[in-house]
Amino acid sequence: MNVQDRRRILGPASAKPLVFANSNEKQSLSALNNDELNFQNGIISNSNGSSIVENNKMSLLTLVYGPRSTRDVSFQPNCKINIIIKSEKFETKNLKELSQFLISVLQCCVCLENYPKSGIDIFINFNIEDEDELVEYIPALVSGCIIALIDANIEITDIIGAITLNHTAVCLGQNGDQLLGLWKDPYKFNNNESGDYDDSIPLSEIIKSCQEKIIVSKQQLIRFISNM
Amino acid sequence: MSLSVAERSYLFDSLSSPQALRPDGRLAHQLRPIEVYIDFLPSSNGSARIIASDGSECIISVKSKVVDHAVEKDLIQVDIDIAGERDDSLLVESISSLFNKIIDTIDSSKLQLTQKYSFKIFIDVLVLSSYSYPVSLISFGIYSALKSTYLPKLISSFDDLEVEELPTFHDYDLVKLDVSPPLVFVLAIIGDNIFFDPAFNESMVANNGLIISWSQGKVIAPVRTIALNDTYVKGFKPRLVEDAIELVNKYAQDIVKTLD
Amino acid sequence: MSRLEIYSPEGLRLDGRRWNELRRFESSINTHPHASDGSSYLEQGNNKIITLVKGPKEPNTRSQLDPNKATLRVTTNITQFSKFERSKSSHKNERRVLEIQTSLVRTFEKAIMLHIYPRTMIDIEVHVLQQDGGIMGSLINGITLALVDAGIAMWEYISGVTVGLYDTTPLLDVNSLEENAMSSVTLGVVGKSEKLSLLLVEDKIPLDRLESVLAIGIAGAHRIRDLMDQELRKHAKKRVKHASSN
Repeated sequence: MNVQDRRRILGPASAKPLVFANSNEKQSLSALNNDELNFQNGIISNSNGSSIVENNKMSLLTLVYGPRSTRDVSFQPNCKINIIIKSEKFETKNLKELSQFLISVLQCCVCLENYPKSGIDIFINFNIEDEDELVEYIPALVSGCIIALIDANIEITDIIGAITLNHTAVCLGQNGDQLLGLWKDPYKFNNNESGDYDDSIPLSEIIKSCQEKIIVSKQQLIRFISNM
Repeated sequence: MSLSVAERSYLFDSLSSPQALRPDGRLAHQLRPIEVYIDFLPSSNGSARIIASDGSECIISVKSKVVDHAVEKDLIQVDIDIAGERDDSLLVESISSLFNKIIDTIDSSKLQLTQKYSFKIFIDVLVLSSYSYPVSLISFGIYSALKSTYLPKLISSFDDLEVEELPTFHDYDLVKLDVSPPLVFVLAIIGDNIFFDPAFNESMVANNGLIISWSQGKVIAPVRTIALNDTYVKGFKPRLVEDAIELVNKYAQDIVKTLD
Repeated sequence: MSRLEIYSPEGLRLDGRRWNELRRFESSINTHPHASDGSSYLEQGNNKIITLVKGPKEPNTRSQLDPNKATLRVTTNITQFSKFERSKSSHKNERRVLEIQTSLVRTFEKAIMLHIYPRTMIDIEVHVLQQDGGIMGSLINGITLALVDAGIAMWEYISGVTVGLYDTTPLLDVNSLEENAMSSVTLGVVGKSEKLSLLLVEDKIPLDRLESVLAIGIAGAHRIRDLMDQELRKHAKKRVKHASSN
């Protein structure tokens, strides 16, 4: 039986798939070895706020919609934050867990009580080339959300600084005096890229060294925000 | 179920003061009483039903299947179902993601049957009702279910790389599964105080929550912070993490003893 | 087809019952007093079912609000571990489950006095922990018990049972082995009457045999009704005793 695919237009019978020459662009990028993040804001006009956070390994597009009305029938005195992260590289399950974590962190700094009966929806598009542990992207995700929230003119009380150290993400507020979020996953040893993982370092020491670094690592973000 | 502003403010004040008093009179490190029933599903290899004092209830079934471990890498799988929640809701998916990470830390070499085949363990969790963040209850349930799991006894030879045969089992003899599943604790941070196993009303005023996993005498990853409500959430002093871990290390052993 | 002898010449079935015997029927009510307004736990043979009734309560959405009567909703959760072999996919939103839910709603719509609870919703949640044939009948029994526990006004008990037809012999309350080997009929019988609120025929059944099938089915359902009634009265007595001693 000759089954023909009638859903799409087929090319001629002799058609061959396109083959591109192997570009060596990737190597030139890694030669730069620039881990610094680049920020941009206000790119997508139909959202209330948006941001792009990029470095040579990844690009992160964050869109903020809201505060807008929710479908809740009952009165909500506080605003609800919802985050949806999209990425092809990770399982949805893990992304949902991460978005729940990000919601928890953002709840600490967004003035929720200023927007009763409303919701803020944040959509994050996550493009990466080579996969790393999810925890490594938390600092970029947090910065992306903060810029996009500011771009959407949503009131926040603090600029959260996030650092990932020894496969532990630490989110700090008030220049390191307050811990807003902590995320540590069991590290898979078969991933033999960065060999700097040491299970014996207690969490408190990781947090302490993050506290020391927080001001420096936030500087770039603050500089960008003040020029926005 | 929701609390009024006055109720919440009363709870917050009494829980955040230096001499904190919990609404049910518990000590800071005390858990609510739980009831555990095991082995009530004859068609599962292990089962547990766990009920907290507030009526939160969770049913766990452990089933097994023989698989080729060269094909199946994950030998333990956790599925979570929470009554009244969609399967793709944020709560269900994030709890199931968390538990699959936790379960990954179990040494699965015990499940190997022969050189080719292993048992694959399916842990199905059904949360019938829950009033506070249910991960702690689920982990106690999984612990009890796995501790009461019996698997068929292998009678064919271990070395089956050369011979083409499927493993065969004894007709009725069973072997107890010997694993030590991690426990998960939820701690609420209110002001500068830390509370084990927050009840619904305590969760509603918690400034933050900590999820801490513990296995064989020490705190292990995953460790997470989590917002337990959407009104009182804010940051906390970083040294509280250290205190919380210390508390877990101090009391977890007793909890294991009770569960056993 | 099957190498098992479903019904022996001596008149014994696979599990040792005779053609007109029910399986073990054990039930208890008010098993989940915190989680619901009415609850029951039912073991019918190897079927194990938890039923939770929540309501009459405020409807979640405007569409569930009926100014004249209560809205009835049944959610059936057949767990992945309920059968001997664990099923690969979740049974939620499966067509068979959705069909079961609709037929349960239709069965109980007529039995509950919905008109005395206007603008409310009655939410019934059924969890099947283990199944071994004749699940539909057990679901009906579980729901009846839980509704009574919730104190929701009903005209009569509804009791459910599945009857198989093996050649010319009707077999009462089939288990899964029998259910797979023959065609079967599920009945929902109203109280001690011969009225049916549900008749579910999913396979071919010779019309001239249907009468004998229905006859034993109704008799079996009446027996189940008595068993449920006994359990409820026993529970009620215990409660009254408790209440008067306080």
